[in-house]
Amino acid sequence: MTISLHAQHPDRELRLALTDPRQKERAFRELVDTYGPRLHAHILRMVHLSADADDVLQNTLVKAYRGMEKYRGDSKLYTWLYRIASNESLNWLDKRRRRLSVTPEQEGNWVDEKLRAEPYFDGDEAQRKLQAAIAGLPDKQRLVFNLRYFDEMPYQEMSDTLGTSVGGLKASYHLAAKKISAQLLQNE
Amino acid sequence: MKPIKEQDELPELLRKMQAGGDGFRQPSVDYFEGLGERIVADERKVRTLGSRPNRRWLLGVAAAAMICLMAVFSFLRPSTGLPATSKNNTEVVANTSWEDQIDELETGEIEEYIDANILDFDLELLAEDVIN
Repeated sequence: MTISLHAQHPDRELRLALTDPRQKERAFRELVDTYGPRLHAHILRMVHLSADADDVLQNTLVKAYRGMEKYRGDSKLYTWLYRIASNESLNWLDKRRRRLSVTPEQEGNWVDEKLRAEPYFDGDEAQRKLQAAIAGLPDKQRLVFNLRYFDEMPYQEMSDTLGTSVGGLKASYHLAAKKISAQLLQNE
Repeated sequence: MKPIKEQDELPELLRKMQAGGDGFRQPSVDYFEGLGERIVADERKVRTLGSRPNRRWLLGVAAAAMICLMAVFSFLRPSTGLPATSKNNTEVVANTSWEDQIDELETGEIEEYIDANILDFDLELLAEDVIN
């Protein structure tokens, strides 16, 4: 069986190929080509530093490669990948804070400083302030805000990805948006 | 990503900034191609290492087999109580040379030999010897 992203059900075909030992490696490379950029963007928005994002993306993809047999196809492939990437990002943030002795409250300022020298950040000052404000949010709010604001992920898909109710996600997003807005206005 | 259907009430400032994106740029296509290749290669290595026989386990089995063999031979060897004459020494050596040689070996020498040749041992034969 050959896989093609232009096929009628590319996700299903890719999933079948990934669970076939003869096609797994080729299918995995195709998975990385297809979903890698989106996952990288999601992870980078979570951890803010490209060096960290590289490691988190690699961990995510290794977990996906090893756990492909466990993926039953009851959710979309990218939803499953986002879930792994989100968990890996949250674990990474937790470890990084402990390693650097940075509290979640201090993280906004820390990210603001780091982004000035970040090679993958091309944004202007307003965007840097926005990222710093996002970094100052509690992890779960940061995750919800990013998925909704930048990825424009529908709430139901977010609920499938994060295992949280749609109502809870809406409340979390609303609260995050208010906090960020207040932070940005305070900086003006 | 699907086009957004639900409308969120965003503060004006955030609504204006949304179109500007996150400010990050993406790595090149080469980065993702290289990443996929690297992970596949690494996983291949992990699989190869994982399929290699456990050296300590093999050493244990081989040592147990050798001890069993020595015990069996020392038990079955007929004891004449007579010292071998120089005349029939060659004959005795010819008939029982490997048994005597095993007896003469020090435990340390046996372990050293097993350690050096562990990968050449036939596992099935060793297992049979242990069972028998």
